[in-house]
Order: sequence, then structure tokens, then C-alpha cells
Amino acid sequence: MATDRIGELEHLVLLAVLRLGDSAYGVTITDELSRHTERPILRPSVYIALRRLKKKGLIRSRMGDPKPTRGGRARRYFELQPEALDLLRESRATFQSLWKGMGSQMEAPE
Amino acid sequence: MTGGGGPDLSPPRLARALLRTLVPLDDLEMVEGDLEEVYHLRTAAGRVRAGFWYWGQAILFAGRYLLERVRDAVVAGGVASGASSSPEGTSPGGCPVGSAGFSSRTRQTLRRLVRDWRYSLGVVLILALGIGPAATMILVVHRILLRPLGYEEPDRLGLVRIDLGQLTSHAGLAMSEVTDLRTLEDQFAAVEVSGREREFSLGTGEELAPVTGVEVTVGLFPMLGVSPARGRAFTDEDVESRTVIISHELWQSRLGGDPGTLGGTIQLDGMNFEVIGIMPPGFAVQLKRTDQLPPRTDFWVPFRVFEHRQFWGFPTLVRLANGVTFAEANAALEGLAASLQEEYPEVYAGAPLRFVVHPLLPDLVRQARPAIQAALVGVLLLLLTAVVNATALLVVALEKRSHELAVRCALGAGRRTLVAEGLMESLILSIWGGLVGVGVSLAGVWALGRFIPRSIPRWESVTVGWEPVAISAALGVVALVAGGLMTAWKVGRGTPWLALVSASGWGRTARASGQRVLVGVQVALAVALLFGGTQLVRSARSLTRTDLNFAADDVLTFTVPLSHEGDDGPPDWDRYQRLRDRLAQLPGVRAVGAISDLPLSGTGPIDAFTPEAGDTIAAWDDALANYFAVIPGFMETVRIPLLEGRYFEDRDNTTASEVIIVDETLARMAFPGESAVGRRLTLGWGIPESIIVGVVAHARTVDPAQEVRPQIYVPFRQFRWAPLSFVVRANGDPLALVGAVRNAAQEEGTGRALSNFKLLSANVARATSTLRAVTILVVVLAASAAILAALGLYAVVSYVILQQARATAIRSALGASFQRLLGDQLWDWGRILLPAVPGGVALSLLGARILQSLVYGVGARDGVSMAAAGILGGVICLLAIYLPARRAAGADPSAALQVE
Repeated sequence: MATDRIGELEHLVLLAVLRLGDSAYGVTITDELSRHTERPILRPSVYIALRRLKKKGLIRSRMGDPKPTRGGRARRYFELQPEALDLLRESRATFQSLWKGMGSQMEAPE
Repeated sequence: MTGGGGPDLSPPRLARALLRTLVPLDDLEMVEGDLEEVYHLRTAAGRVRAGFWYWGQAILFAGRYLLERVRDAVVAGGVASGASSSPEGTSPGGCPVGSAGFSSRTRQTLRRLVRDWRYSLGVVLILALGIGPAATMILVVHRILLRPLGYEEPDRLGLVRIDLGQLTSHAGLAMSEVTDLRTLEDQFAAVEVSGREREFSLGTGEELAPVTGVEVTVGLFPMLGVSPARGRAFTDEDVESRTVIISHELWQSRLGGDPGTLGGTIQLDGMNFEVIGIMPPGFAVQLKRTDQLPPRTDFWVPFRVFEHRQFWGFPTLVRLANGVTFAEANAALEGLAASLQEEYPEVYAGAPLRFVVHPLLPDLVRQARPAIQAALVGVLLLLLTAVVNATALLVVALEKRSHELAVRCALGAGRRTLVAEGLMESLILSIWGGLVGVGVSLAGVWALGRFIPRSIPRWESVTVGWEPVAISAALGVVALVAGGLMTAWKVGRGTPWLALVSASGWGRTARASGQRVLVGVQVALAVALLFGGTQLVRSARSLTRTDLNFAADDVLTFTVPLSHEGDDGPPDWDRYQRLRDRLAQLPGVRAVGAISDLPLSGTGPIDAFTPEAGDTIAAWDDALANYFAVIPGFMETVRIPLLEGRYFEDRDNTTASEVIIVDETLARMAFPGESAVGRRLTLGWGIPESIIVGVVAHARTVDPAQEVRPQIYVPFRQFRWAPLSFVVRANGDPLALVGAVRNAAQEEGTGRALSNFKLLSANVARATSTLRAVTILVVVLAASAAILAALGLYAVVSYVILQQARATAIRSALGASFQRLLGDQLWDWGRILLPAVPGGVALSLLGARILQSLVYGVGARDGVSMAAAGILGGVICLLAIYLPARRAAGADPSAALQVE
């Protein structure tokens, strides 16, 4: 499976970047992940995941404009590389095929 | 910083420094920017909470990135070695290595540590409590005791001290003695003088500012090997003209960094001086003249050594000639002293004369050294305790998991894997401990600089820098090595299957005797530190309650320079008394007076006195006194009690009067058993022989903790020692008078700056500040030591009780009562305290000497402090035993037996 290349959190971060589109940077990615997951997300882990994803060539970044609320620093926005999209598609297909027909068994007990 | 004129909303600086240290550059801007953005949003809910949040994030980020770096390094290493020896990526023993093994192991360990967060937090806090203070104190030792002074070859520089009668180890020579020293050319390459600090007013008219100047001999700066950063040094010709070299700080602050300052003139006390040089930033002539630290020097003026052998007020610095040692120079000085005593019997007769040259840096920090060294020993012991306790906790945690480890071992996990896991755990915990320790030490350095007054030489050099970070990191590694080795040894040595066997048996008789000894030592240390803390707290209380024989509350003080008639006219001696009369009429003023040296502002002039013929004083030693020039009204204002005779009246303050007031010490010494009033004294300083008109109590104006020397008060017109400082007793808030006082002085036309407006009580506070500072330090140390000892005890007790759980459960099931079980545990562990607490008391007796110079009003071996320390230490430790013991005794026996 292609997702062998990345860990679980990295996988989640890729999805968050995909969802956020043009506004994906550290703060929004962390917020997005916290909104969608049950367990607490440690902010530094997200940044480490971003760092690793970049190293693996799955995402790239561009700088925004400097902002006064950031002490005059620019935001670093992230976007997915084509390989990352392929990888997400493939993982979704795998999951969907595995889940097919399992819906009733996974309903929460009444 | 960001908001222009608005409030400063930038995140905590130290936390940012931590981030910058550990987050790699390519991610730093993003991380800092993102965190600052969220921080800004969070400040809406309160700055303090946002600050805490930022600190937490900074520590998490720093730790996470540090781990990432370690991981990268290991992966790189693993890949390299894997490629050469083991292509499959497994070790010969079957343990996975390389990135997968490392990161999964890291993840597992991290997860376990997060799950057991109480345990992790405990270890991290213990390590931080040990590392933080140790890093802070190592920095203090480096900056104050070790770092060389900023002069050329500072090791060859020395300060000359003189012993002459009551002058003991006094840092000031008479002018002629400087000339005498200069004749020893084979010993000294240079002999130069840096005089007493004096207050001047800088500027003209309304724009007057108080500044401090020092007279120096022309060769002083060349001898130190420091030349002005701009302009030139003094030459012999400069002594005749009015030239001045100013400090970089004065140039930047008062003179606005104007490049035209150099070569231009500045007005000092109404006189024009040409600025010929500006010293480099931070330059100061550092020497310890008195017990108090001199104010920062703003400028230097040149002077020439003249012939005078009466006043020992000129601090003299020497540079040893090449190849000469301090011992050789001192031997030569002994010879010089002997010949001087022969040559000038009228000056030196009756008292042994001795010159000693001390190396400059050790002399400067001589008084501070024992306290700093004691504090260093204290924090290092604290660090040792912390490492031992953290290791004990690690081992306890491993023991708790021994069952799981045994099972895993049985399932085929190699011992190496288990050791690696233990190491990983101590690695992670030490990194966190080190990081929190960095925070503690930075906060410690900051607090030292901010809360402890500048009462120790070079204290201003204790500032936040990279060292506390580096030192904490190094100490973290020490903790890691100690903790890691211990765990590795424990796991590696243990045959885990034994744990299975013993767990199924009837419980072990664990005594943990080694750990008992360790805990006992910790308890003893904590008791010793608690003793020091209690003793100092009692000293500080006792000192604040001491009757100083003067009342400092509600008194405003300020310095008034001597006025001259016209620009260069003769001094206007009577202006002080006129100003006093004017101030006395201000509403809200109860009493006014003036004196040459304010109470607790330094020693002031010292000279001999001789009773009238027929009275003899046993030893010359006792015949030195502190001289004070006063304007009548001073003693009434500061309320020095009158014991006999009368206070000064205005008619005494004339050139014709020949009256003085002495203190009780002098009266007792010179006229034992008789009344001193009406008797005559021959005085120093060219003051004519005078009649004593009053005897006052000995006011502790030189040292609040003891009587120093006799005191002689002389009317200002007889003893013209300017500038004078005024004391004004107010009806309400003294500081509210400042404006009115300034206006009155302006109308009186003193034409000079009134400076140094402050409360007299501030002098009292400063004089006791060293004691208070050390008290705070020792109390904090003692509290940390007590907490650590209690935690250590708690860990060991919990550990052993856990191992005895089965035995306890069985006893309980067989009918032993809760009280019986609890009592047994308390007795079993309380026995540690029986030797430990007395041991601590004995240790305090040994250490009492260190604090002796600071202790006041309580004995060096104060029984109350000792009892308090023993009881406090005992109670804290009993509590640390009681909590786990109660839990064990109250445990449900069936549950305890089912665990296995």
C-alpha cells in the first residue's frame, strides 16, 4: 500500500491540507485536525509531520505576506504535490473497498 | 515591541529564546509566527494565561524538535550501518533496528509516558528542580568569581590595603604613601590612584542632572590597558586644565550620543570641562573600597599625587613588574612599612603599619565568595539528590512493569530491546527535564538580577545569556547518563523471568537498604538547609527589629553640592544653613538638618582623636573615630537620642566656635566613669581642639549590625566636608515634598542640582539587602531540598510497599487491623529519620561557620533554628511516608491478591 510511506498523523495532515485548500498553514491545519479528531492533537507533532511530508516530497510551501499579529512574520502556506493526491486517492479506494458491505456490522449498539 | 506606542504584547522573551535555541532555522519563522498569531488571539482572555500557554508550547516544540533531531541522526546512522552490515535491517539478535525500530520504540515509549503522565511529570519536575538552580548558580560562579576582569593582564593587577591601628585591611592610602610605593620600581610597573566617588551636577540652569565623578591619576587607564574608545587618554598637562573623560553610558544617556560631545565642553558644578575622551561601553574601575558598592562612575578627572600623610582615603592600584609575584611584592612592602615607621614616628608611632597588595579580582569578590561557593555546593547537592530521586522513580516504574517485561521476554523480546526501551524512556524524560530546567534556570537568572539588589560586586554581569541553556543541557545529559545507566543496569542485570516466579510466590521481603541510606542522606541534607534557612529568616527579622538609634521613617534625603559665589568665586559656606531655614518653613516639614555622610551610605572620613592631657587611652588602636560635619538640626531630625548635655544650636555653627558632640562609645572610652560634657578633645582634619557639649547614643549609621567606631559630630563651619546631604522629616509622605524642596532651593539660589532624592529608609533597606538576598536564596534552596527529599522518600516507600502488597494483603486478610498495618509501616520507615534528622542537625553545626558572617541577633548554632529545622524536616518526611503507607494499609486485600 502506498500509505506505507507515511504515518497516521501524516495521513491526517495531508487530508487537512486538502480540505483547507488555499488557507492551509500551521494554525489552520492544527485547528482543522482538532475539529475532526477525538483525541487531542499536540501542535508540535503537526509541525513535525509537515516537516517530514515536505522531506518526502508530498507537499510544498509558499510564503504569504508578513502580518503585524505575527510579529511581522509571513505565513507559510502548504499545498499538496501530485504524488500526495495519488496517494490519498489510492488509500481512499483501499478503504472503500474494504468497508464495502460492512456498514451494518459497525453500527453503534442501541 | 510590535504595537508602536501601545502596550507590549509580544510573547515571553525567554520562551522565544528557548524556541530559537532548538527549532531548526528553516522552520523557526513559521513556528514563531504561528505561535505568536495564536498567542495574540489568546491574550484577549488574559495576558498571564496566554503567557503560560506560550511557555507550554515553547517547551513542547523545543522538546519535539530536539527528539526529531536525535531521530534524524539515528536514522542516518542506522541507514549507514544497515547498508554495510545488515541489509535486512535487523540485528543479529532479531531486534528490529533502524528507523522503523527507533520510531516505533519512541512512539511506544511516548505513549506510555503520556498515559502515566503523573509519573512522567514527577520525574521531569524533579530533574528540572535539580538542573535549573544548578545551572543558575554555575552561571553566577562563572560570571562573578571566575571570569577575568576586562583589563590587560588582569592577573598582575592588585589593590593595596593598609593596616594601621583601627584601619584594618583598609583600601585607601595617604597620598604620600602612594609616592613611597612608586619608589619600589623593581616591584611595581605602575602605582595609580582611583579616588573617592563624588556627586556633581551636570548641565546648566533648569537642566541639571546628578552625576558621579572620580579623580584618577593620569596613569590609571594606561596601567589597566584600557584606552578611550573615542578621543585620547589623560596627559600630565590635563591636570592643570579642566579636562574630563566620560563613560559611554553617560554619553549615550544624558548627552544623547551626540558626536559633538567629544572636543566640546560640559558643565560640572557650574564649571566648564573639556571632554577629551569617551570610554568603551561597560568600562568601570572595579575595586572594593568599602562594604558598599560605589555608584556607577559617569566621568573621570585627572589629578596629581601631592604630599600629605594624614588622610587614608585614596584607593591605590598597582601593576606588578614583570616576573614579580604578589608574595615578593608584599615582602618588599613590609620593608617599606618598617622604614616609614622609623622616618615618620609622629604619624605611625604606637600602631603597627602594614601594606598588603591583594590580587584585584579575588579582592573584589572576597566577601561574596564564601556565600556563592556555599550556594553552589548547595545546588550541586540538590542536583545530585534530584538525579538520584529521578533514577529511583525510573527504577520503581520499571519494577512496576517487571511482570509485563517478563512476559515480553518470554515471548522472545531480547534483553537488548528491553534495555533500549529503558534508555529511551530516560532519554525522553531527561530531555524534558533539561528543557524545563532551562526554563527554571533562565527564570532564576532573571529573578536574581531583578529581585536581588546590586550588593555584590559584578552582580550586574549576571544576565540571561546562552550559558544557562548550555549548562542545563549538559546537566540534562549528566542526568540522562546517570538515570540511563542505572535503568540499563537494572534491566540488563535482572533476569526478567524471575519476576514471574517471584510474583507468583508469597511476596518478596524487599528492604531496599541502599535506597534507605540514600533517602536518609537526603533527609539529613534537607534538615541542614532548613536550619540555614530558619536561621537566616530569624536573623533578618532580628535585624529589622534592632534599634539603630536613629529613625529613618518619613525622612526625605537629597544631596546639595557646595555653592560658589559667582562662577569661580569662593565657596559660599553659609548657604547650607540658609537653605535649611528656608526648608523648615515649608508646610509639611517637621524638622530639617544636614550631614556630610548620610546614615548607612558608607564610612565617611576617619581620623584620630586624643583626649586632653592627663587622660590616656590604653591602645592607639581605639583612638580612631568617624567624623561627621553637621548643620544643626540633623540629630533632632533623625532622632539620635541625647544622653547628656545638649544638641548643637545655630550659634555653634560659626568659625569661632570650638564645640563638638560625641557618641556614647567615645565618651565611655575616653572618659570612663566620668561625664564627658565639658571635656576637651584634640581632633584630626585640622579641626581645632574642642569642648564636648553633648553626648548622644551610638547611631548605627555605618553598619546596622554592629557598633563600628566612635563618632564625632562637628559643626559644618568648623569641619567643611562638602557636599552635604539634607534630611527632612515630613508630616506626611516625604516624597510629596520633592517639588516644594526644589523650588525653595531654586529661590535660595543654590544654583546647583539637588540630586539623589530618596527616603532614608531606602538606605536602611539597602544596608540589610545582602542578608535578605541570601535569606531568599537559602530559603528557596531549603524548600527545594525538602520537596526533593520528600519525593524521594515517597518514591522509595511506594516502591517497597508495592512489592510488599501481597504480604500486607495476607496480613490484612488474616485480621490485622488498619491501624496496626499503618503503624508498622510508619515505624518501619520512620526509623530512617532517627539517624537522619540528628545527622542533619550535626551537618548544620558543621555548616554554621559558612553563614556566621551573615547571622545577626541569633547564635551561629541557634537552638531554636535547629529544633525548628529538625521538626519541620521530620514532619515533611513523615507525611511522605504516611501517604503511601495509608494507601497500602487501606487497600482491599482481595484486590491486592488478585492482581497477580
